[in-house]
Amino acid sequence: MDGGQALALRLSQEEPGALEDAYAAYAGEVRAFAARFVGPTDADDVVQRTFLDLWRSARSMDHRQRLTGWLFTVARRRAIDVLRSRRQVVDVEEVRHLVGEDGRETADRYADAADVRAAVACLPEHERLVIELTYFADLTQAQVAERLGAPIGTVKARASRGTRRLAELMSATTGTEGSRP
Amino acid sequence: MTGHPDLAELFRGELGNAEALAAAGHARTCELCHAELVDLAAGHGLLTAARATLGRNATDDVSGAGSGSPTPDALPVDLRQALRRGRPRLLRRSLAAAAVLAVVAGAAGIGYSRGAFGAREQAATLAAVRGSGLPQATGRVSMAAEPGHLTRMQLAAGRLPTAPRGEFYYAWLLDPRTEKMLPLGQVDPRHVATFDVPDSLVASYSAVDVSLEADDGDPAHSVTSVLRATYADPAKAHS
Repeated sequence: MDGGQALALRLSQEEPGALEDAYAAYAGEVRAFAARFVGPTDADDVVQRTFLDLWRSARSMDHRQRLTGWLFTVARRRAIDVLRSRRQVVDVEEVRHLVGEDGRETADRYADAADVRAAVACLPEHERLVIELTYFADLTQAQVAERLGAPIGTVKARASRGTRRLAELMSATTGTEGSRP
Repeated sequence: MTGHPDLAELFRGELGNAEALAAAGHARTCELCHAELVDLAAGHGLLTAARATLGRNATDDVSGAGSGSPTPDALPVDLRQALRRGRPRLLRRSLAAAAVLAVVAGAAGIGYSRGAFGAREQAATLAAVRGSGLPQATGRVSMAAEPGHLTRMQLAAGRLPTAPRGEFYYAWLLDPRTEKMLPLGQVDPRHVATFDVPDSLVASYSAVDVSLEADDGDPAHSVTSVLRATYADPAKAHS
């Protein structure tokens, strides 16, 4: 069972703190996805509605389904709601990209990315920091070493171990078939 | 080359041509490096794809759990309020009279009636939706103010048959103009369903809809509406 499935199970069992944990794990990515289509202000509304939907639907949720797939499909629908509500001024291309297949593919890509970010968060702290700085802050290994005050050889070893460990973490969850709401 | 090459450097493009080719040649014949290469390739590919989708960290702040974009600081107020009060569909029914803000006006042909829980409370009849196949179905919905900028909505279905096996009834707020919908929760025809909804959300919609849903995990509206009533924004109705 991966982290998303575990969270979905906790949500379906109404476990205290489960929604907060889901929000902490995925709200950033949901917001980034929504902002791409509706802008930063309405993105907050999309995030709120998406997690409200999650909370209200959690009890009947099949925890075996992919939580991020569910989240981003709902976020996409909520973003469409926002665009419809202001359709007199919305850009036609913007709507087309969100409503059409491209929007669905984009939601899938964000769901994938959110799963990767969640897996990165599960790495041992010293490996997670190196991976974060290397891949998501665009620092070179030398810059990472300087930032962390660690020898370059140590940084390289952590990057290598962290990258392989991430693959193992993700591989352990790939038996799960993605599904969307 | 002595020993095993740094295959991570190979992926990051940090080796010269000769070193890269030597590392690849070594990995072809070294079982250990070959296995490492596979995991590195997978990990690097996953991270590169995630980075391409999410973009660069806006803040470089990697001290926390990390996110591809700034994570909102905390649960929104509406969500936190709802959490403090418990899951709406599981709330125990309360018949205590509350200060009334709500006026529920019936849609065309829907009778308007006074609430049963207090003289100041208003309610409306939920009417069967044409084409639902349940013309005899009816119901009542009442709205009353609750502390914390919440509206307590109580929905009682009448002459609504038990949902077929594998299906259930679900209540929604609806804006017929934009077709925007907000899921409220499950409705059991045998009991009054109670939902505490933030006032701001109630004001964003104008109708209550009850649909018949398949238990397939799909949180979207099934498009099979069985009951509906429209309402005016409670705050505006009393202003």
